[in-house]
Amino acid sequence: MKLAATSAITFAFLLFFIVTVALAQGWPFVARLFPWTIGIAGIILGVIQLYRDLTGWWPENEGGASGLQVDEVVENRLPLSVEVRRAGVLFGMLAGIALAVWSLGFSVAMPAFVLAYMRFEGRESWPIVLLMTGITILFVTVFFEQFLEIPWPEGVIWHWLGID
Amino acid sequence: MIEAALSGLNTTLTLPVFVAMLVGIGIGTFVAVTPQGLGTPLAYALLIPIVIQFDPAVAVAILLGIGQVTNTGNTFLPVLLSVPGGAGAQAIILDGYPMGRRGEARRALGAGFTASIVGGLFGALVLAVFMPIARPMVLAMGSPELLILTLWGISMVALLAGPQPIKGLMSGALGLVLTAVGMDPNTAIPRYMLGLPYLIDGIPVTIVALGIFAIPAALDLAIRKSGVEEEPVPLVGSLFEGVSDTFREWWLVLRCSALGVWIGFIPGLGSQVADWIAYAHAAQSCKGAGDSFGKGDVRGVISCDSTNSSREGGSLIPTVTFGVPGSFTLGLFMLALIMMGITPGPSMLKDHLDLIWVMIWVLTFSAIIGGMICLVLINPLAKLATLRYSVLVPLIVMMSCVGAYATTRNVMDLILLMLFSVIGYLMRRFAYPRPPLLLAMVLGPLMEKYLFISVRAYGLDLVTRPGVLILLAFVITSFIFAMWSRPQPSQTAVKEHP
Repeated sequence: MKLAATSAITFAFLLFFIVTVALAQGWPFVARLFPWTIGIAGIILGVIQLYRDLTGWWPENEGGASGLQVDEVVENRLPLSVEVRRAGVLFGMLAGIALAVWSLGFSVAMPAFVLAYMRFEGRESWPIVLLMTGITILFVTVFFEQFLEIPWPEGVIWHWLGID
Repeated sequence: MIEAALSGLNTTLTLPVFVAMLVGIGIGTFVAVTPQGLGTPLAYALLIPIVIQFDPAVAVAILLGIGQVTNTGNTFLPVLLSVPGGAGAQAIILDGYPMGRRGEARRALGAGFTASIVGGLFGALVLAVFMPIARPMVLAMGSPELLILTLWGISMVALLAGPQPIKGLMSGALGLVLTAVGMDPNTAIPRYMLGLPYLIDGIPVTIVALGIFAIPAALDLAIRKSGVEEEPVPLVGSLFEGVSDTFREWWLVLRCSALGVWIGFIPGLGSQVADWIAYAHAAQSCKGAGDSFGKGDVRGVISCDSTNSSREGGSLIPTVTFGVPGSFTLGLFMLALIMMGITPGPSMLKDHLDLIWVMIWVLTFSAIIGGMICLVLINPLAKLATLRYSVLVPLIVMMSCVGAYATTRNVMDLILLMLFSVIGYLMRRFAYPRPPLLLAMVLGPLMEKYLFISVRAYGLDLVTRPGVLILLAFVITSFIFAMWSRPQPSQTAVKEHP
């Protein structure tokens, strides 16, 4: 029996399917028919996969194929700590974008992100940074707001300051 | 049918549609040539939220323009850098890169581009011929038959998830469950909404697509902090020699194009295996291949490119006739159509026949124009292959956020994007294939509708209908063929150590 990160992911899948079936219990037959059909099938598959993960039965690389044919192959040559740190930076930036969109508005948040990432994370030269930031401003404001007529909501900070 | 064909040609030649196709060709070339071949799924995921704002013919022209030309442009990376140009251009490395190292990069590219043009035209021709034959047959189908076909689409992709079919099926099941989120259309019962009114219309599939594909692609570039590691081989040799190679090997091109259409027709096989099957076919059937293949034989490049390109037309056959995406990319394409109010399948054959002909014409024109652009702009395009991560990452993230936020313009869009980015990253990291999840989300609502109607109308008798039995036999046959066609261990080993 071996415990690995992949078993945790499989367990999360299994738990998700169990919750799916449990939550649908009180619904009328028509409403629960589809979630139950899929959820129960998911539980059966999850149990088989978890058993596979834990016991090594039917190893994943059986047949020699190391990658997935319907998805990209992950070829990670970096130490896990570096990978986690760099992934953390990007997810942190995504969280920052969400916060900036809510507070400053989309038209300000996106160019600010492009500028910050290219200059401080990518260490690009100012001319390239400014060019890409300009393109972002044009894309977000001119293309979306003017051409497609999709206005972006203003940030709450402008509302608080009374300048929206 | 001829009227619809002419009407489709007229529409394709209108200024907005033709310009849209050229834009698609430009974007497709860009994503095929940039480091690691960012690929069609990424481009589709980023652009669907935008193109659905346009007229359907314009949207179709952009998306299919991208899809067709990606199969042409993806020859650059394997030949110049020994890097797979996306999922469909892995086997090209075997002979393309040795040719490049031998000072024949332009010959390999010329042969590949020309084979792509011919393959693309072949695929479009087969699609055009198939339409009048399939139409009456498809229009006679009822909900039980369509239910079987939908199940076929999802399970084929899941079963082909390499050595891990159970993970593929679990991924598909997750996608199907996610489609149940929101107000149930039949009973008006809120399902899995967690008290969030935001989820009343369900989880937006576009956000899921961006989260599980686009952000992990950016993440991959950001983690490696590099585009490509090797220096490209010099772009020398005779382009014309490659072009004439393709015409000299016309019989191989036709055989591989036919193979591409057949592979495209079976949902799930897609580009991931097409080039390997074509390469294996060429290696077995070409004279003297035992000595020359793998060492820089132009026929190795020609076989892969013609198959890849013709596959696009083949994949569109089940997509537009049965409503079952012939490939994962076309699953995203189908999503775009559904979001514009067009459901691929019998209703599309009945009500939007001219749009199907627009697709055929776009495939035809973009195969020719895309191939020509690659042939003429070979030098500047080759430079794109060395684009830095620091330019691509913010571009992908920005486009993802724009696409997600344009869905409802609610900050919840961005939170959902983050959530699915984490899920996509973990799935990719722990080898849970993502395409079945997304395909299931596209097909899930249709499947639930067909299941509901079939059970209400026929009860358990639905499995004894002759149409259902015939389709089940067909489904089982294609399963066997698909499993038999999976790449062999030796092929995969070469993929990692070219």
